[in-house]
Amino acid sequence: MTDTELLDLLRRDRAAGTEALLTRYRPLMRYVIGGILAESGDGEDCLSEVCLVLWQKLDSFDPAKGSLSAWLTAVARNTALNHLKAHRRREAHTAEATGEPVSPDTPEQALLRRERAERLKAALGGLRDRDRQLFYRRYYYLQPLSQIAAEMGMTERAAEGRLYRLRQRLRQELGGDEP
Amino acid sequence: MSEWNEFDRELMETVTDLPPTAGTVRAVTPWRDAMGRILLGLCLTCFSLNFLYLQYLLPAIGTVQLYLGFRTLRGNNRFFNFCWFCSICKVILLFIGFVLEATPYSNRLSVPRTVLQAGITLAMLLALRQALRLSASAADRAMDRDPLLWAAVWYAALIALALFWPEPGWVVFLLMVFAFYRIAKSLHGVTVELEEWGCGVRASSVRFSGRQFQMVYYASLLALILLCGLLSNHVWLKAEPIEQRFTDEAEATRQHLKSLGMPEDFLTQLPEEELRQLSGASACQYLENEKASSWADKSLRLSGAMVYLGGGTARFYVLAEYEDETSLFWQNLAEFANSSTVRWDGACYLSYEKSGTGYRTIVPVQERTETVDNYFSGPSESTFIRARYSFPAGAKNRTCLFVCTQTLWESPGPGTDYYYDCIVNFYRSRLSLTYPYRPLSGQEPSHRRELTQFCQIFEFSLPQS
Repeated sequence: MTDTELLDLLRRDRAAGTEALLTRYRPLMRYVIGGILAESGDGEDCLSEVCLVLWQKLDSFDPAKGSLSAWLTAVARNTALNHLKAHRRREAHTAEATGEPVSPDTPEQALLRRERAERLKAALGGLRDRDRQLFYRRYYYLQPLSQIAAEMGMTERAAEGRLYRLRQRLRQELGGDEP
Repeated sequence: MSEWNEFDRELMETVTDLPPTAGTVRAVTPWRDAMGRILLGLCLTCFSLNFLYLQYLLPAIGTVQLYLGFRTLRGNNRFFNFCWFCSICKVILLFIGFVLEATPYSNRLSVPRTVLQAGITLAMLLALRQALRLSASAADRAMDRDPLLWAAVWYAALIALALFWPEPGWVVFLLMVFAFYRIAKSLHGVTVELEEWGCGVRASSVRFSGRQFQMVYYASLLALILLCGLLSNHVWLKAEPIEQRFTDEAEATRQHLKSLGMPEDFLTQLPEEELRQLSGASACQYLENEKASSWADKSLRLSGAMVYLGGGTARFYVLAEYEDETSLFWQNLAEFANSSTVRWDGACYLSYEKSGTGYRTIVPVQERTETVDNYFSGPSESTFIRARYSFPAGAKNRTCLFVCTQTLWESPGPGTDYYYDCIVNFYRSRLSLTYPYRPLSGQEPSHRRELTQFCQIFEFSLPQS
């Protein structure tokens, strides 16, 4: 079943469509969540949460903005990140309440963030495929170095070195704090 | 993430607004890269294209791709692990086989190697089929298509054709290519289908990166092939130290030849077995080559002698003294051409000095008859005797003595004058690295450059008896 057929099914029969969508994309979402929540170990809870979010947000998916798999990846990633932050806050709270205050962006901050995103987009466009893949694995999927190394067929040391060089390059192009 | 600094956090937060494209999403999953390598490896190793060295290049690339692909997936089930083991065997076999191809032993092990390679490939295809089925069932899926079973059948048919019908013609060849294309396409389809749930596979950690492995593997393979080719194509001659003392009989012959006009310098180059043949010499003519230099300034000095043995036969000697530096990458060639109607035998002696000791060896001489198109007399058959040799590095006082016996006339009469032209060409050729190995006798010397030519007319009067 193609993505278009899947979306058609979702429009006609939401329950059956969601079932088909989860059957098809559950491994992908589990894979994305697994990288982010590798340490905390509550991936299955997060996956259930993602399923719930999907049920609620499916109408917001716009095929013109990107592919279904990319959108699902984004939903899974953001849900897993929230899960991780909540997990950390809980841990910090039990140890000592020093959690970072969560505040929405001010207009200036939002503008700066957009500018940074534009510059990063340009910088990523100039990277080789393998480096771009490495970047997304590390900063988008938040995969541990061991997983990145294994999946890219490298030693951890080699992956670390490559990542270091990539960071240096991005630091030069985007500016940032010194190591 | 605790070890991340501010810049890393900033990157992580910024990239949230830049979700990956569908292509990046697919590329990130471990399945795609590994299966892509395996598919490429199967395509490159199942076929053999016998031109432009593709029969070596494609399997070398394909086998390594198979190894790298299975290395990533080996931890997922035991069949992938078995495939990985098969790919290791293939990598080792290919390495040994390709190195052997550069040596004279290439033909000896070709059959066991081919049988082993075919067996491993067949086993690997069947194991891969099981591995995919297991992976599919682990994700609660079933494979609708079975391209790997067909691939195994196709490969078995290919082996059967190679064994029992080596030249089946274009129709069968095209059918096999078409069948392979269909199988590869189907396998690619299955791979893409599996991509969706292939995220569930676990990539195994590695001790060395794929790029490192490829660099080391290909570099060492190339280096060993070049080394073996160099050693196999180099003319190795087993030289013995020169015996300074002659037997009484040989010494007597030396004195006799000296009295007939052979110079002492030339005489010292004649080994005892030659002196024995010259015991009955009745006349001798010595000639120095009029052009002692070659294209490389004064690299070769030539002289010749003709010794009449009686009964209408004479023995010719052409001595080449090398004065330039020697090199492991150069070979020398001496070639003597004559009409095939003349009876002759040929021999070639090398002598040189190394670490203060003189050495001498006999070079095997090859005989070849060719039709030569002469400008004046038209095509005629000519016989060439050819000696190919090289001196060890650092050798000094290097000489090559080219010898042959000829029947000058069948019924000689006393006092008859005889003119005989003797032409010996000396060449230098580059060490040829033929791959796969071919015996030197079957090779044309590559990039040969003429050093110089001994071309002299011996004017000979038969002694009055």
